[in-house]
Order: sequence, then structure tokens, then C-alpha cells
Amino acid sequence: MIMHDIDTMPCQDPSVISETVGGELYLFNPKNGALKKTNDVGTLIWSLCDGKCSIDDAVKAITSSWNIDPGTARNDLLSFINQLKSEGFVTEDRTTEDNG
Amino acid sequence: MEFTYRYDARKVKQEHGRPQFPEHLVEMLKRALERTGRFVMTADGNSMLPAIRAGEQVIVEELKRRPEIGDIVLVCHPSGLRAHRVRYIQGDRLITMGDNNKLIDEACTIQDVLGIIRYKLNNGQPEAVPKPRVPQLVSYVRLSRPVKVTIIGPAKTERAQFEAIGEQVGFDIQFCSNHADFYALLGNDEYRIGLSQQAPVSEKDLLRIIETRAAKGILHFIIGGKYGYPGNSLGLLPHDTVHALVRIGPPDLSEQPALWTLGYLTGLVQGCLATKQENVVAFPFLGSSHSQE
Repeated sequence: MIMHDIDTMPCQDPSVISETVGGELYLFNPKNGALKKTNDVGTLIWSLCDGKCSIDDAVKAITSSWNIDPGTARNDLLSFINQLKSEGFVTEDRTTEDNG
Repeated sequence: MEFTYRYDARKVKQEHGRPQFPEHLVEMLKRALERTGRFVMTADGNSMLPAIRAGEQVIVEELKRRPEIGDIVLVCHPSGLRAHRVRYIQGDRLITMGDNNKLIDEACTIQDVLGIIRYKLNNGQPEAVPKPRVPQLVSYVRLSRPVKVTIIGPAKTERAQFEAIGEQVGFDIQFCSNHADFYALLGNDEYRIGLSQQAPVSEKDLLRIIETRAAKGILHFIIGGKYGYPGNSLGLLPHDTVHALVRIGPPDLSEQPALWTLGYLTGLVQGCLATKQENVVAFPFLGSSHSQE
């Protein structure tokens, strides 16, 4: 496993099934059955989970679209990434990027 | 700032305004099966005890063959997803039932089956889901013991329906339209039970009578008789024509048509005689017959 730079967004796990319905993103992880429904902010963050986008750029993307201060956006973003990691939706392992 | 909210099936149902599982979620599960051949889901409820407990994670796999009796299948049902055991197959039609349930599920088709469950996760490791010995589910059990049913006064056009039921479950159905015919149908070595909603004896006692009398000789049920007291002159059958006079169905139920009574009686007798003597459970509405012999 290649450890990922903490300043970079993680990768979407290739096994995760995603579906956007009515502007809301549904994520399903077949490996553990986790099912998550996100709002538009979560949808943006999910799209940035490519293993390349920096955390700073992700914060900028959030603050440019929503009226929120960068410090709060960063904390919330990292918290959300931890949620996604804990449920296996994203991975730090770049070797899985092209498997799906 | 919140990015997510907890998925709640009940909330989803409310949002969609009808008790239907969101199709896009089902499609996601199908895509997961197509992509990886399996997915994990968490069991909800205790309908599959003792094989699967609530909160246990099970592995749903792509089903590459026709379902078989005994398989646990994940079915997409209008009211949601259910993972129950296949108990009956008729063509493409399936009847599933939770191992811990008393009732069968609403019928579904093979096309409604998303996948099969053979393993559950124990500390992250797959282990086979136990397969308990469950009674065979059949539509009807043809009774080996003689059961006569006399129906008083049905229209000739109705008789075929009575006879069809009798043929399936093994009742010897006979009809009469007057007292003379009725008395001619009575045998000597039989225990006669009149069914009337005016009777003082309840269904609970009928089950006891069936159990105790069934082994001793012919049970003879009489449907449609109107009973009076000894010596009455109203053209009613004397109540001592029968050994027991019993009402069936819910309390305070008014007199029902003979066809209803026969159907209800069928269920009682099937449940009492067939189920207790054979390792089977009979659900008379399944549609085809099964011989006990």
C-alpha cells in the first residue's frame, strides 16, 4: 500500500457504486454494505476524491460555492473524509485507482 | 456543515409517498453484483432466526442458476428487500418465508430475486449460513383418513366448486336438499360435527375434537344445517343429529356461505391433521396438490 499525502484528497474506492438521483448522491460499498446519501456539498467532495486534488483546492472549491469560512470548511471536509474512509468509500491506496 | 444524512428506509418511503423501495437503490445493488459478483448487507429483523440474527452481515452473491427450495434469496419486493428462504416453486413463481415466521411471504417471481445468501460474516470471515430442517411447504396435503363433508342445500351451479376443493384435499363431499336425503347420508361409524355460527362450542374445541376423533373413525362435517331442539316442528334438524355442534371463525361471526365454511374448515383440518402428522406445512391457496401417500 502506498501511503497517501495527508494534503491530498483520497481516491474513490473502485468497487463503490454511486448514483445521483434528484441532485443527491447515493454511495454503496459492496464490501461492507455501507450506504450513504450525500447532499450537494458531499457530492462535490466525492467528485474531488481522485487522489490528486489537494485538500487546499478542495477547501477553495467548497468556499467558492458556499458561504463558509475556510477554517470551518477544512475541518468539516477532513471530518467527512474520515467518515468516507471509515466506511470504505475512499482509499489511500493509489494502486486501486484503475481497477474499476 | 453536514454532508450526509443517515439513510433511513422509512424516510425514503415517506419521501417517495408510497411504500415502495427506491428503484435506484435496487439498481445500485444490481450494479454491485454485476461488477463484483457479490455485496455485503446487514440483516434487519429476526425473521431468519436462528440462521441469521439482526445486525449480522451476510454476503449476497449473484445467482447463476435457478433458485431451489432451501436457498436464502434476496428478493426485491414492493415493500422493500427481504432475504428469506425459498419454500415453494411453481414455474417462475416463488414462495419465500422467514425461518422464524409463521406466515409465508407474498408470492414473487424468479425475476424478483437479486441474489442468493450462502455465507454470513463472523469477525470478518465468511461462514456458511446454517440450513435448519424446515417443514416442506405444500399446497394441500391429501388426507389419508376419511373425512366426509355433507353440504345441505347448495345450488347445483355451486357444486363443482365444492367438489373441486374436496378432490384436492381428500374430503368426500356429498350434497342433499331435504331431510330424507340427509338422513340417508349418515353413517353408523362416524363422528358427526355440525358447523353453525349459532353453536355454543367454539373452534378451539373443534380442534380438540378433530385430534381425538380423527384417529378413531370417520369425521363427518355437516355444513348448512339449521338446528332446532328435540321435537321442534319447524323443519329444522334436531341438534342430536350431530355429536357436536360447533361454530368456526372469529367470535360473533354471522352465518357464512357454505363455500366460506368449507374453505375455513379445510384450513382447520389441514392444520390439525396434516401438519401435525407429517413434516409439512400446508397453505391451501398455493395452487397445486400434494399427496400424503
